[in-house]
Amino acid sequence: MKDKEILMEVKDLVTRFYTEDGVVKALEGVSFNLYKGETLALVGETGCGKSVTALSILRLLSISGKTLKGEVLFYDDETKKRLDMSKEGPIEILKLEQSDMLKVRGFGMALITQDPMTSLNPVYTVGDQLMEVIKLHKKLSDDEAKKIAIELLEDVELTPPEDIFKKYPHQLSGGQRQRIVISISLAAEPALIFADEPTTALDVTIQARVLELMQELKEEFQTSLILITHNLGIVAETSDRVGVMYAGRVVEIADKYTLFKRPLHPYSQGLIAAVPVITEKREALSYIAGTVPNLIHPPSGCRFHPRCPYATEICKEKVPELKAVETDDHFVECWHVDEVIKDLDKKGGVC
Amino acid sequence: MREYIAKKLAIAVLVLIGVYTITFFLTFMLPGDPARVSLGQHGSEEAVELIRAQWGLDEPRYVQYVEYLKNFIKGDMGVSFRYYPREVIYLIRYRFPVTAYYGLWSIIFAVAISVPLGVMAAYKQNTIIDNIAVLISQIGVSLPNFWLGMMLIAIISVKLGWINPVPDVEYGYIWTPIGFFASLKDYALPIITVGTGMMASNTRLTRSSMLEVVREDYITLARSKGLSERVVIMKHALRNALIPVVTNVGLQFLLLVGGAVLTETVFGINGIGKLYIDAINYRDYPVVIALTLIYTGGVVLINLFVDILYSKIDPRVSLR
Amino acid sequence: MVGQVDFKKLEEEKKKLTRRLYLQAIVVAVVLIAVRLLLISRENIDAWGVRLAIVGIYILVWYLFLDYVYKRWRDINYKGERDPINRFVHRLYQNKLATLGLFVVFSVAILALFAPEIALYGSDYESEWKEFALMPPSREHPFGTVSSGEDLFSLICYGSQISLMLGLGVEVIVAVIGIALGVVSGYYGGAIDKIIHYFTDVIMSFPFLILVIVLVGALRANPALNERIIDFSKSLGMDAHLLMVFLALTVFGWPGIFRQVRGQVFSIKERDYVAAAKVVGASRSSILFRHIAINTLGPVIVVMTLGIAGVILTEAGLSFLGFGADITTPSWGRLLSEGNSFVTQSKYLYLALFPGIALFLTILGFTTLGDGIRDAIDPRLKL
Repeated sequence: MKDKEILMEVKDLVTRFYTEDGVVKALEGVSFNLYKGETLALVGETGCGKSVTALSILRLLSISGKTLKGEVLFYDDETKKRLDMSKEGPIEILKLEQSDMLKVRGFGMALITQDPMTSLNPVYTVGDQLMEVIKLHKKLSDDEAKKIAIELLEDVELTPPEDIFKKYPHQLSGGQRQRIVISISLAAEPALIFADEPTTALDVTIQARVLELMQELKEEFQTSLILITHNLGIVAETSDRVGVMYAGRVVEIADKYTLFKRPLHPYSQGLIAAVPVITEKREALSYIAGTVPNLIHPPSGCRFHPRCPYATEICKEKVPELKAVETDDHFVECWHVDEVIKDLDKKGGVC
Repeated sequence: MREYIAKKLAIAVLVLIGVYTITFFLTFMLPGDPARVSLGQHGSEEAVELIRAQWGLDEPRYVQYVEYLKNFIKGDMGVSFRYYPREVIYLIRYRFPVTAYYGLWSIIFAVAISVPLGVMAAYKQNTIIDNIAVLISQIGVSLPNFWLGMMLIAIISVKLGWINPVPDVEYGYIWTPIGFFASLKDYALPIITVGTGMMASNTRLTRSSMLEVVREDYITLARSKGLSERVVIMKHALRNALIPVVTNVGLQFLLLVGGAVLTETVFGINGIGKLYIDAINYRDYPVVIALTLIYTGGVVLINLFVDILYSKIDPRVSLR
Repeated sequence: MVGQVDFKKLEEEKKKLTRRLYLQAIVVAVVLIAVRLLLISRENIDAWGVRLAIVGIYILVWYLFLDYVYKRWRDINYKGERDPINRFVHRLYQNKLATLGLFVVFSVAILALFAPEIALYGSDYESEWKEFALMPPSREHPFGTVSSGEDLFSLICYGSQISLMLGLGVEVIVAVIGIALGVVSGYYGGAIDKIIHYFTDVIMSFPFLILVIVLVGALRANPALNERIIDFSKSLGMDAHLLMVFLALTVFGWPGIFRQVRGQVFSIKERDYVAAAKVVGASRSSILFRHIAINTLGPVIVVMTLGIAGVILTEAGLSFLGFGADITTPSWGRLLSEGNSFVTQSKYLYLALFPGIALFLTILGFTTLGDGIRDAIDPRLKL
């Protein structure tokens, strides 16, 4: 086992959006742990709550969204020092005063947004927007900050950095802009970065390089990464642990190899099975029956029950809890996990 | 940039000539002989003939057309028929300050209220402030400004007696440093009359622009950096949101003209608007043509100015 | 295979039934209109109260009729699900201001359609009721009388006809021109587009007010030109000056819609579903009409509604200055110019108050309705 020092504990996060069409129950009890130095991937279909989770933790929800319940415990010492917290124990993120939260953002946790074409302010230069973060969290003169900014630009392979520094976002390509966003997230050297579908909007040819870059930088800056994506390929390449989300809950969480070789939640199995494998011979693409649930009127009990082959009465009534299964690292929430295990073993484990 | 300006000015000259031509010939379709009109019933035939000769009215049309244009370019706008022998330039110069005064204050009034109101309404969406702002702007946009002027006179001047309906101030005074502010009270009603419509449309624009901007990804990213809400709004959101507002304000200078004509009719102010209407009614051709050309020229210049301004504040835009 | 045939037959059935419904509806509508034109009039019914009641009943009949037709149409075509009209209306109603606007617009429309019946006194301006000039509001004249002795309330009723007629007339013509040019310009692009665009630029730079004022001024008592124009405009029911205003507004109105449509066509042209349709083999003109037209319709209606508000406002302003309607036409703007002369004497405040309120409410109604339609069509744009 690698050395696992815990960085963040998320417990039972409940977030709702109050819209004209009704109350959207986006997160209904999201729980997971994050360890120092690891890359945790959050996967799931569009709308399952992955981005909302990141925004809820950063407390960046739009006006109509509210986090009603839950705890987020942050164990970063640097951030604690910054907040002048001498108490023992973690920072309770959700309970912080707004002024303290501002200190956490950028410095303790940072965000990489999805679409590089809209993530940067069009009226300010790229250098300006980068310097902003640096000067906010570090007491430096303009020249010193600029030096750091140039270094960062070099780190994300934007050359020549002095030229790029003076450019406006619209003068750069998508890949270049995303690198800027990455550099912004790293600027204050946070302990944790949320990367929300960082490569989805990029050309395939650039995706690989950007991902590689992120891995390298993560090692260099010693940052933990929560990678939000729906692309299992990326997950396989870059993550250490994987959390599968469905309709506002984390239904399974395990290290990468275990999840891919031995998924135990029916939904995870469906996901893994749906990925076509070149070497395999298949007649048709496999899929999960049914559609993504309506989050305004979600199914009762376990939200996956309408699409689950193992569903029974209890699944319709009570929401299952995340329990450690098989190892103390592998968590699944399902009433029938034993049956699933039995079936899986019969088949010899999904590839 | 220089090519852009040159191109626009070239088109402008064409437009101006077109406008001049149309106006010139249309005014001559106005019935009534100006010489006769200015002399009244009692003028003798010889007197009328004399004046016609003096004014060049007996020359063939196309000669007048060219002559007037040549002079205009040199800066000589001719002599007013109605106020003969006063020069047109003199009349315009005399009346321009008043119109400019309340016109300028109208825009100041409009912007000073609309921008903060629009920003606040967008920021506190769906609260009382927002609802009031939306209501005010809906009403302001639909309110006929001449009716507003009349109602203001009726209520504030007549019933309450607070302000004189017709501003009673020496023209030289309003553009002195003290007079600029001291005369506000007297011109309050015309300013509100012209300014309300502009204020309303600006509020709407500011509000909707802010609402759009605040939803953008870069605002979320800015917040995630740890910037305070105040900085996010003031530095990031506002600068983007105000881009369309700035151009709108620029264009509103053009609406001042229509506003001036109506307002001066309601309040009896002796400004450019009244000069124009009177000139048409009294067949004062030189004044009509001169003001028309000046106005069209102003339109072109302001449009050009707005275009350039826009390209300066939005780095994405380059002039073609 | 069986399923496919059924589906097609179902569509055919729906179309047949709908067509029959439309025919029946047209017949009934014609009958109703005939009733209105022949039976419901000032001559036939003397007492104002009774007239008002009958007009009210008539409107109710129309409402029930249209409601019935709508429900039948909905049942034929949209059994069970929410039809687009329902969804649209539902969204519109959620906007209280816009609902109010809709109500105002309907009221003004009814006022205009039934002006002779709703008014207290006839539109025959040489009639007997000229005895009492400038009388304040009373029982016989709820809004008072004007300087020529006419009843202000009735004048306002007839004034609504002027405003709506002008507003609708201008906007419909402007829409036709604007859409036609916009589609042509947007679809074909290139040289055609540049030329048309150039013309619109010239028009937009042209000083509107000046053109109108000079046009109207030129028309004043200029005998030779006037004869024919006056006759022509009388046949349309307006006075000559108003016709000039109408023309000027038309000329200056279409660039707005033109730009809107052109922009829409450009963006839709590039969109994926048009390319998809082309791939499937749809012919050029069917692509043009179906996709582009349907998508442009919504925004155009919004621009038109707001345009009507603008036309009414502009016409009022011009008439106020004396460059629009003349003394024979009860335009609200002209009534206000009279009120202006008396505005410093509070005794005669009513002269400026009532026409102004009518004007303001009407414009307000159209602007809020236009905004409401815009929000209801595309809730994503709702801000």
